Amino acid sequence: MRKFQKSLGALGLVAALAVSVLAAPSQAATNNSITVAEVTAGGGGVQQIFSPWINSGSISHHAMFRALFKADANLTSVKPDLASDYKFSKDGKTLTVTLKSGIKWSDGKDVIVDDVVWSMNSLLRVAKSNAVYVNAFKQIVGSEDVNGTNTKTMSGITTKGNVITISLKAPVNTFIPALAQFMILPKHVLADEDILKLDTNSYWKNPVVTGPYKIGTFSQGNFITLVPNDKFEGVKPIIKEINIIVSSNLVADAKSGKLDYFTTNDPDTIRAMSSVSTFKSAPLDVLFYRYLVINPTGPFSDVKAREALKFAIDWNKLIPAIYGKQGKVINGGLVSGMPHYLSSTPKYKYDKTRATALLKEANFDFSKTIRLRTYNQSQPAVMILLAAVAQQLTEIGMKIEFLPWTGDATTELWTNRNYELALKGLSAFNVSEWFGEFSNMATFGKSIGAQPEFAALNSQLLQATTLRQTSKILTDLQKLEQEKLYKLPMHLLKQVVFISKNISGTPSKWGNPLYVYQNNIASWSAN
Amino acid sequence: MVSFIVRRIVILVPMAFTISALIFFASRLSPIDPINAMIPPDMASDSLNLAQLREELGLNDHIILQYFTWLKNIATGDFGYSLQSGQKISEILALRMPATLELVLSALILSTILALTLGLFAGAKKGGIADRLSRVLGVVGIAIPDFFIGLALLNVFAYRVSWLPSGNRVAPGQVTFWDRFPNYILPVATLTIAMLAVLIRYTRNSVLDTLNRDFVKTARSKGVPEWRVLYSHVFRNSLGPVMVLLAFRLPLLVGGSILVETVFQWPGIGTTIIAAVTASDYPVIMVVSMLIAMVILFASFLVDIVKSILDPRVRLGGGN
Repeated sequence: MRKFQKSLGALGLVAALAVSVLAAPSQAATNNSITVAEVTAGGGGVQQIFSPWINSGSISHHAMFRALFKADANLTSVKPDLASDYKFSKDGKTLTVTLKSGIKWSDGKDVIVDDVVWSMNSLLRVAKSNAVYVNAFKQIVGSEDVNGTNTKTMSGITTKGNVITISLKAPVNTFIPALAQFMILPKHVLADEDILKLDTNSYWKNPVVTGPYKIGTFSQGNFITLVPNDKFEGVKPIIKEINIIVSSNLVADAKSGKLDYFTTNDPDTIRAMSSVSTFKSAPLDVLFYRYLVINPTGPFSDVKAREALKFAIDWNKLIPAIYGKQGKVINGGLVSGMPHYLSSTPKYKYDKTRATALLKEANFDFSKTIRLRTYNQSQPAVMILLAAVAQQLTEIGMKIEFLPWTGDATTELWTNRNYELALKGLSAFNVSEWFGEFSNMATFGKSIGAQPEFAALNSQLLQATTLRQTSKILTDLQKLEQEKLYKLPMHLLKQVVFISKNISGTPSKWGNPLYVYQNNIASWSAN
Repeated sequence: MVSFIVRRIVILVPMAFTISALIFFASRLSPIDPINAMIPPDMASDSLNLAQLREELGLNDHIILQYFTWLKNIATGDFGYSLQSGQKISEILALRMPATLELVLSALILSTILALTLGLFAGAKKGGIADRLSRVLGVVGIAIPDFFIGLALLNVFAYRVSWLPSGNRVAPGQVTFWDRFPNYILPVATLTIAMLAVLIRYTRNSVLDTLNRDFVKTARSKGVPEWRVLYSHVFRNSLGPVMVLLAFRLPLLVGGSILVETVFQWPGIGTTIIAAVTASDYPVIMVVSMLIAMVILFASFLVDIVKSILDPRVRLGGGN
């Protein structure tokens, strides 16, 4: 009996040991390391860092890359970063930037004006880049000569010593904010690479950088570890390792202490995170639009038929029911509370009788099937919202076929156009991006033809230098938007930053996590 | 036997060509424009740049020329580049294949050992504990999809009791094999359970079938000990059909288990396929599909050989 008891005891010890060995200890944040979840390029696990010329807001971008200027959390005012100062000429057409001296790349080479000039020229030579920079840089003199196959330099950029002079065709009010998002890349590393395909270059697996961190370990498919960049001239970072992972279950990983920071706009994740007491959250008003693109060539060719959609769907109940406070119903590109909002813009009101009357006036063909298409089918909230939209449209007599896209959304949306209503999202840097879509020849311009009225106003908006001018142009754009109704705005969606309570030194005001701003990452510390 | 093998190889060649053509033209006939899939219009810096990219990727060539260029490149080991990451596909395969191999091979070995042991005892003692257990496991394993088993295991062991990690093959700070070992447990267990079910039933039925053979009765009547009858006569003779099933599982070694890899974020071929399909990364989809098809062809070739060894009648009618 005693022998049996001894064996049982030994077995228990072995089992306990096995469990303790196998158990995954939670890795709470320490001053040595924090773990952040972010989407990285390539899919299927951590592949490489996204090119910041495409999107620039992830923690890895904040930590490793720098621009001439650093924006505040509102992304509007800037302070010099790689630049020491800047000055516009009186006519707003010449920008003079002085580069700081003594800044080094992580490989020890000096950051020089050639890096800045090469980066700005190369932006126009890559196949894939963010429209914010393209729109701004195309205003530089000589930009029309530069593309992937042609001239490599814009005549409007010249240098003398540490001074870079940029000549613009006309004043561009968003030029400095755009430059604050534009990360300077090392010419000496990339000049001989295939610039057209820069976003897929192996450089992104171990980039030479200027920020407080650089890549320490790159374990493809698994994780990336950032470590302090010893060539960084500023305050030395407190946290010694930033681990970048891809998490399939943000809430579970946050609960178990395997994750210290992430951002999301997924309503289910946001709801579930309310039960995680070890995290604090910061909801952010960002310009993330969701809207229906209306095909104006079929049953919705009459603007009254498009207008009927404002009344046929109970937007004011559906959006809060699905997104709670995270979603805000919008009826235009400018939203109530924003500067220059046109208060006379009609608000959405659920009125089936009015909707039916408008459709009747438009001679709407109820026998035709309305094809409602969507992307983001993996997000339950999106599918629920659109299913409800389909249901309410059915209630006023429409025949609805609601399906996700079968091909790639881009081709379907702008080239094939096999739909009447299609969901689209837009994460905009500023409102001009919302209105710019109407005159963009790759989007609406491609699907419904050139929109000269929008194009003229958008061009004026870019060049407006006074508040009065801006207000007048935005008022006209809002009126034109309501007149044409090519897209039906649905809602804005707040982005939420979640960060472990163990981490301190974070900014008092968070900015849009899709862009780079002063978030003091080098000063973050963890208990 | 040699002429049988030659005949089989001769059949394989046109099949491989047909499959390659199907894969290539199916990907080209899809409504997805690779350039649009790579670069949404609001990310396109210049239409001339896109035109240049299309040219560089050979997308302006005649489709037949594109097919033969692709075949020639594949034959010379040049699998091309991923549209999504720009990485060489051969590099992607070299990185992802070991992850899939270690996951699938572990599960294959474990499930085979368990299934053969349980199946043998289940067949040998019909109605006994092993038989009942194997029948329950068989039904459960077949009825419940592997991703559901994975999610259930994750929910219990990773999320509720937090004994095991929720996914990934290597986490930051894990240097040695033993550091990484906990990461293997749940995915390997999931795949093992999923593979176990069919194999147990196959082994059990095969053992029952062999037990009724005359040579088993003869061995028993000669007084051969039961364990020896079971091992030397029953088990060995029951292995034939089981080997056929195992051979058909070889393609898993290359293709991985898409669902299990996805559930556990295992950076293997399965998740590569998912990422490639999601991003319309057709060069990767084509190469991986081709690879899987070739391994399936090879597996069926192996099955034919095994069958012909076990049953010479197959060899005689092999040409038909």
